[in-house]
Amino acid sequence: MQYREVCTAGDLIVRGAVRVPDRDALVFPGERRTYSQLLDRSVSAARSLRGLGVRHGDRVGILLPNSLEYLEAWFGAMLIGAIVVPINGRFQSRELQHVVPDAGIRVLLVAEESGAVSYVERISRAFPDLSNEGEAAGGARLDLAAAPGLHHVVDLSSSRARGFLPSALWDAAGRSVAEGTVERTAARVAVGDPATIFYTSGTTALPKGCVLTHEAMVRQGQETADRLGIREGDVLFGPLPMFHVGCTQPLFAMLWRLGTYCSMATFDPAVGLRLIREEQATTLFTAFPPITNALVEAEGFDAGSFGHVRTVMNVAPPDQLRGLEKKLFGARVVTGFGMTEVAGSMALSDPDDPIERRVLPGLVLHGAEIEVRDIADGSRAPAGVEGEIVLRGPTLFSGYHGRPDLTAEAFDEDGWFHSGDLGMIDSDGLLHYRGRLKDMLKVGGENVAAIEVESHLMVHPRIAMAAVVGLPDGRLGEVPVAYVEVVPETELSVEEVIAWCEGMIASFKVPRHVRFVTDWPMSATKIRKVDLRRRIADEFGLPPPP
Amino acid sequence: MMRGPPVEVTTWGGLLVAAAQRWPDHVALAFPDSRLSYSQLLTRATRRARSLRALGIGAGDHVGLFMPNLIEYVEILFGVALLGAVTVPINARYKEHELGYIIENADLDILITTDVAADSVDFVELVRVSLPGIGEMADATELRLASAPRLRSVVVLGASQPQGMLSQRQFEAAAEGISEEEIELLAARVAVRSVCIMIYTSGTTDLPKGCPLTHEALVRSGRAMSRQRYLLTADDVFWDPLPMFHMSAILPITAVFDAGATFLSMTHVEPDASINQIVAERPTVLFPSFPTLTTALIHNPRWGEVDLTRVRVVNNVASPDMLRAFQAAYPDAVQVSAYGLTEAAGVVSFNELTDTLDERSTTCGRPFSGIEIRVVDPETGEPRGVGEHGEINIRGYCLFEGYYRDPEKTAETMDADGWLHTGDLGSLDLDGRISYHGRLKDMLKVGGENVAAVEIESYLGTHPAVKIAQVVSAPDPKYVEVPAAFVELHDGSEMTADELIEYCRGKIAGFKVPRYVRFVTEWPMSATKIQKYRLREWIQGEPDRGEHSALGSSRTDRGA
Repeated sequence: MQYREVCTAGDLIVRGAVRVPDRDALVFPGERRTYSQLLDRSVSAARSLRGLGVRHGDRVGILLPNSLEYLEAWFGAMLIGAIVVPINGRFQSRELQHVVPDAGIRVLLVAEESGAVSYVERISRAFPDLSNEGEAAGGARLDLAAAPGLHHVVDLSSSRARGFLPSALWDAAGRSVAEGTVERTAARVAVGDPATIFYTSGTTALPKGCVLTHEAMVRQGQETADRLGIREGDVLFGPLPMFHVGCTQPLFAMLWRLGTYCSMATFDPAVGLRLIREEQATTLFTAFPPITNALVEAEGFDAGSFGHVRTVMNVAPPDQLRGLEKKLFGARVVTGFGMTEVAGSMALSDPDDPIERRVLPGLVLHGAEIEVRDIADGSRAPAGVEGEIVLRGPTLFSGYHGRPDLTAEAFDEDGWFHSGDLGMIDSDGLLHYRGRLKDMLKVGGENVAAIEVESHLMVHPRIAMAAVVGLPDGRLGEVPVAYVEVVPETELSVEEVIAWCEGMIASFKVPRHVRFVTDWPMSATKIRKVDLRRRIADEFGLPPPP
Repeated sequence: MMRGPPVEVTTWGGLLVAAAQRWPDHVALAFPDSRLSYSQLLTRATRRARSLRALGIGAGDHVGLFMPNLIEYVEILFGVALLGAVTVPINARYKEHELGYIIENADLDILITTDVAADSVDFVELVRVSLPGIGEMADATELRLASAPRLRSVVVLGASQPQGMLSQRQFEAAAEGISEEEIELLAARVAVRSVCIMIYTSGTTDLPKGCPLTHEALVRSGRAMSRQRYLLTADDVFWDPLPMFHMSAILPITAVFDAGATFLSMTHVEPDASINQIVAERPTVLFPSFPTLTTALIHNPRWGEVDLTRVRVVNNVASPDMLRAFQAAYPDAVQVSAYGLTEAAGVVSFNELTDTLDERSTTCGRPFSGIEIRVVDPETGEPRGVGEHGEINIRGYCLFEGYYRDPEKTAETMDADGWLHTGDLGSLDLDGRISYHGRLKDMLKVGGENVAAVEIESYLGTHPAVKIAQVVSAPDPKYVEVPAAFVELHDGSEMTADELIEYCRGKIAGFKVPRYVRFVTEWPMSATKIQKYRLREWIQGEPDRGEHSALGSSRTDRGA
């Protein structure tokens, strides 16, 4: 019989620093951290957070580009029992104004991203009152009506923006805290405590916080490492954004196996290929077809660059995966089924399986439970019959932060999470994914609730009604399309609708197309989105959606 | 750099699986007439899990255990844990009223009992009378009882087959329908943050309340006991005859299994059987813990037969004077003391083996790593200084999940910051060692003076004739309350109330000197504690209490 030992997320890196202090834990282009360096720097971040008043159970927001500092701050916070809220790098004012107070973030870490995006500027725009906080740069606590619990916004890139705590004071805050404090505090963290809150779109108007325990995240890493056959000291290439479980799932797998995780600030196929070759990556966790395909199609992609790669994780339909594997110089494709609510995957294919099985996402992970329930009566659907996918297991999230009502809706009395996904379990016990049950879009891997975009549109004084549906898209899976009814006697252009969204909601939520209507296809009381979906697909000459 | 041992946590079932892999042939569990190796215990636990699974038990279901200490007890505890179900161990002293209450209050799905009689208790008969109508049930796998709507089956271990209940033979045969692989799969689904066991605390005033404890609370506390305090190894043999329905056995079992050591227990706990077992098994750790048990051991005429050179550690919880006296009976062993409560997984602190005799006699040691303790003013909530008395508060991984089906009581006990308000009076020394000074409510107010009962008890215990002393308040028209002492004397000792009063005069403040003295030979007991409220009822119920001298000149027996 097997048994698992789980630990706190913080102890993952303590364990690495004790066992393999000089092995690389993290590699970025031109920069690397051994396990002992990663622990040292995480402890430094922990001391700074303690110095700024962060305690067990407090929330720490992170809005940084993918970077070593990102993970050091993350592990630093988790070491002292604080809960990290990694903020989607594409969030704009509307989402930021919601997430920061909703999560009750006490300290928010921000830095400029090299290149076009300025997170400092974005925060300044979302919280204009920051400019009145003249004392903040000297270490005074903020007092913002829009985010009452927010004590400090730390500017790690020292842009000298008004209202931000400069990085010099961040460092100084840590010097007043003894290292022993961090060690003592770390021992108090329970593996059943919350470690991270990922904000994800559901069917509600705004993103909601999925609370994941240390156990859920660590166990996800352990099961992923087992299923993918990760060996001690393996090297994984994972370029996904750090505010996603697409980062933490493979990262935790590598830390558990005392391996190395390679990433980069923004995905660039040429740089990625170089990392894969130079670091002798054994596993690629690229997951999204646009990233995987860009690598495979990049110049310089050859057998040499893939010399050590055994496994490539990509989420795509079976035919695409078969085609992909032919180009991989013998590396094997695996795929999976997962979501933020389970800290990663619920099912993941086994690299040792024959290709017919491996291209299906549905081989359930050890300890995870998946069932399919009849849509009409909630009974357990027999093999081969479609229904709603429900999930249970040690990696399951604990609920939506501050929303017992939504949590109660999502879980039944036996602890099953109703995922809102459609699926079927075949006679071999493999799960097949059949799309969303709820009114959701999946744009390039990001969940988008139609209602979230609609409610933003309908705030516009000249929009009377809006309905958002998905249009199939070769690159992103689907993109949002808005049907809009204008207030009588007024006028509105497509450009005005787009401008209303840009900078206010994340760009992947901004409608790609806008269509004006004066009457709607209606059922008794509701707009028939099925008809709108068919209409827009027709217009683009695409097959009608299932 | 941080070098502390990483915290690793497995499920309670995982703990046994790990031990069976590392020490398959070590003796895990020994009773006077039977013993099991770790691999045998795992096989048997898995078989118990298969039977329970066949009866429909799965994750989150509640399995009641109403039995004396038996090897089967441990098999079932771990079988239930492997399934992700919850064991509800029931105090084997409970009678019809309490049993009926717990079967319903704990939402038991299955109840397991035995026809083995212990201390002449007929468990099956108690279950029968607690569940009216069970004798008329045709299908023992699908009970439908008005008094316990969730209860599906009652299983009786042993040879008998009462109507409406499943026999041991039927229970064991059911296992055939479930594979070992299925149990393995179910075990992998158990989260360490899920509930493993729910123990009813013997409330000293109200009805007992269910304390659900997670796998993490149990396993981390047990590992802390083993690795941070007792320093157990696979060579240790741990004598602990305490009831398995109580944390005083559950926590040591966890610690012992973490180390691959041997746990000694027995069904009929009596002094001769205890001495026999200790002489035969030569334990390295003695865990009598309660003065009644320790006194019975060390004053047994056969105590001299015990090979004390083997004994490394002895655990006892008593007043400082009593602890010093006990220590003298095994001078080469290190006696440690403990502090804790069921709501915090049993124990949050033991003395370290390196603590001085004084520290081991006057304190219960520092809390385990990761557990926070503070002592606060019970009225204002302000932290008290070193050595100052106040209420002990606890925070950490060890805490229970709140009283079962009693959110109000939970809200009274747990505050918004996660502190458990224990209702215990304590203090901390300069190094953070805890001293226990009695229950917060176990205080008397004698003419405006606060008096902790434990303080008087501790002093009375220093008299050589006194075995156990308990002090409660008696109503008094002048002082509102005055101290009344109940005293048990050592066998062969004699003394009068006047002699005891005289022993106090001039030694403790006048208002602390017991006004009444009553001699007893038996105590009203909950699982492990003397029920003081019964003593209080007794003294208040005496129509004409008179002064101490009126009744105190001869020994007065009060049965429990």
